[in-house]
Amino acid sequence: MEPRVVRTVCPRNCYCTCGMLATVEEGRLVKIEGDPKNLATAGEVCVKGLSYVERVASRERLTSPLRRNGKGKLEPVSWDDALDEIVAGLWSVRKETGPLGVLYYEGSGSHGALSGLSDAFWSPFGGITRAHGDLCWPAGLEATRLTYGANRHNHPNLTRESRFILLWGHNPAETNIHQWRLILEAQAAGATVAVLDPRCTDTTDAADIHFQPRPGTDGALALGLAQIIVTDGLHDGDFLRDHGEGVDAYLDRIAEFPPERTAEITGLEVGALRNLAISYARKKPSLLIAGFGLQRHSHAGQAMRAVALLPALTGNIGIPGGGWQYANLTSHVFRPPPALPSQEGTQSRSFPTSRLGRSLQELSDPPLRVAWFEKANPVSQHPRTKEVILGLAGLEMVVVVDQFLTDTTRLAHYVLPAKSLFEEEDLVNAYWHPYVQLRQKVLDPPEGVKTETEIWRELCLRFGFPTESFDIDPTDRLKAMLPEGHEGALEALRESPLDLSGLGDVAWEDREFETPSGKVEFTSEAATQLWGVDAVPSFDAPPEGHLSGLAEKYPLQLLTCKTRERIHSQFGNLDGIREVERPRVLDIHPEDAAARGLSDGDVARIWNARGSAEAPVHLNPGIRPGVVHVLEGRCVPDDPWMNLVTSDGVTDMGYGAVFYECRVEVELA
Amino acid sequence: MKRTGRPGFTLDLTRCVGCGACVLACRIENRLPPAVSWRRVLQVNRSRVGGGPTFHFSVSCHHCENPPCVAVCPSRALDKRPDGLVLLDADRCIGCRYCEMACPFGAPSFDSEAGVMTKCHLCHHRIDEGSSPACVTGCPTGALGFTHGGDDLASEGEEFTREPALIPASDAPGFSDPASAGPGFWVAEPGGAIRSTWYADLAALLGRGDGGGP
Repeated sequence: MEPRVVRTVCPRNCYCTCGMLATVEEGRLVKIEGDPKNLATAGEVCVKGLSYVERVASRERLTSPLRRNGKGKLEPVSWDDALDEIVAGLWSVRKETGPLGVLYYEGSGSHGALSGLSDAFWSPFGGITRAHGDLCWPAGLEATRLTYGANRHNHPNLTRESRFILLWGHNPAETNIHQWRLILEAQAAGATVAVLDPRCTDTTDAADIHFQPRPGTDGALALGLAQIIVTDGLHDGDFLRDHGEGVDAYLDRIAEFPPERTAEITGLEVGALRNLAISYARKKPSLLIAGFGLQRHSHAGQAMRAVALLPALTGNIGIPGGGWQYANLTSHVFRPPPALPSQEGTQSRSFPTSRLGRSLQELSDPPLRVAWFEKANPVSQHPRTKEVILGLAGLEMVVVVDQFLTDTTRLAHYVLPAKSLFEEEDLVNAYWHPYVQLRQKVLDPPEGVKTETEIWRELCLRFGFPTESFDIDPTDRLKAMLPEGHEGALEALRESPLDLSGLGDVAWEDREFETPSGKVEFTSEAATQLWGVDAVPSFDAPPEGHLSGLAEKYPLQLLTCKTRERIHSQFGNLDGIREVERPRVLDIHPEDAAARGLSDGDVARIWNARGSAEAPVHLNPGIRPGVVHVLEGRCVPDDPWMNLVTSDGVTDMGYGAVFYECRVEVELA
Repeated sequence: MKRTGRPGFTLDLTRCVGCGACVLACRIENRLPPAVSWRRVLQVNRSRVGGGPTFHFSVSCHHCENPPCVAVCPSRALDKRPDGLVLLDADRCIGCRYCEMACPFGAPSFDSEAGVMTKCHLCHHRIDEGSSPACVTGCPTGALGFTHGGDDLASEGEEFTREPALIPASDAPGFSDPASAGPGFWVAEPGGAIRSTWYADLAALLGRGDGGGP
């Protein structure tokens, strides 16, 4: 049989959302290549994309439901038995204490519009307990929404027109490889690349300017840079007059952050602050790209509002090569699956997702008795993991749907094998480029694997719920989920990714902002009403910051950043990834290590009141003293288990997590 | 692009982020068994001596001008094609591993299961059809390139508009060529003061065969 090449898309929680071409030979996936028709990912995929060849056929992949036996071991069980028993468990909870005794938790492990089909079961079930917010990025999303009215940014390819690129807490050489390629092109054409990051990374190595602020002080840094820009007359007065709301109160606020005070808070030199502020404001068009890490702090929303305003202050909004780049949700246009049952009369309850561990234990009336996890591995990825483990251990039934055994399946009563991205057609949006992409079906699921769509349908049948949403032809279903008037685009999506937003490549080119005032909100009354924060962006010292009472006992701040070879706890189990990934070590400045008698290669214990984890010591003169770092994404048992020490705090807006606001002490294990 | 000159790889060290896509693309294309690897990414100055940058050095067989591996092969399993490709005939290989000892660049990779040596063949099945080796096609930043000769160093799909220009790897400090093998490998390196902090590592890593990793 001739090899087939099928256009599809990588649906991982990653900026790039690469268009992919999958080659199938005799029913096997043999090659992944980039789809040149995705103009942002431009015919390349990263090492993770390549690794699907191994992953989809991995010997470790689950191909049968598993049930925990009396000895605590997971053993294969038939689909019928597994589903009958799960249904019996769900039924009794619903009958005895009501549907809210069940938690349905859907993580970010894989993206696709069909995940909305779970409502076809949970609505007639009577409702459900869910988690709200997000572990990753919601404070920044909400800060951007409050400031500009929506989360959108220029087409990535316009990076080529930038003359100054400020990467604020961002490491695209690892986490957004296609953005990095564009930055290198801009730099080759004369753009200056500046990076703010307490660490040295492959991104900072290539940068023209690199400063290492104290983590958690970004709000003060942004206000202080604005103070210098305004004092030096480098702001865009016309833009502020025509498109700024509440500018005067903002100018009063930044006056509270003269360079000397900003330097003291951020740990940067006054000269560095002036250098950065002036070069950013002078060299237009100037692009500010913020990562997600700087908003994993308690006061992240207020900090992100301050950072997000710098492009507006300097008149860099609405122009090619300029802009505020955080998240681009212009491809988030899908409608819910058709024929979903009404949610009328259903009950609902939710808790902030970072509080999963304590919520599992503490929710009452009714208490949580059953939890269902999909696309998620909370025992690895949720903060304050010990509480998550205790919470799960106290439940009557834990169901996990996954392709592999994980830290979370180790606590499950039932594990249902999940399809891979290649095994069901679905629509996928992105958060960096503007393209909607069709995840075409490439392979049949392996024998023994059911798609989530089939699992929900089976549950509906067992409960006697309607199955109308499942009985629709899959192609018609996807057509109905495209935006109104674009139903016919489904066939075109087989040939190419499409931008269905109608918004053009330059965000806010018309300067018509979707805020209450129609302007860029330097002062936001909505911020006060919704979140109880100061209407003007502000800086408050973080509760676990360097000035807090905890700093004496726990002098070091732990960062747990992302890496290029994994998406959280995925991919680290593959041989092809393990061959090329770097060791998971504790990056610690030699001065901090010497003060603790630690040498290269020692095993360190990293601890605080929440827990402790171990990692090999790597002396790294490139990290800011007082800051230590271990890569996040625990996938295999040897990986450091850093979320045992992270905090389950909640951000000031958006219900985000505060992973990076984590003080620790380190000692020889 | 010229198709007649001497074939080889180019690497822009200012663009390589050490992601390993080249290693995996090679593995998939050539269906390599787990214990065999034809390409490695050396991480130079991983300990950031003096606060200096880390560099990533993706290397494989350099299809040398005067390949020492060919010279020592007692069974004539290794041979240099007229167009410059150094190829290994597994049917003739007796698994003596002399080539592994002779190669200054750690390129041959022993397949212990089959009992024979293996190595990069520059994806001759692809380049004979006018395409690039899989590692080059799979490089997401355009750092790794393929060239048909030192006279024509524009690499596939990526024009090197940026200084520094490509130089023969054997002229780069740290990349010693004690056997005068003449590796077919050209690099764009940042030069200047940075050189002294990182090339010291390279010589040690090249021969070691483990990529200087964990």
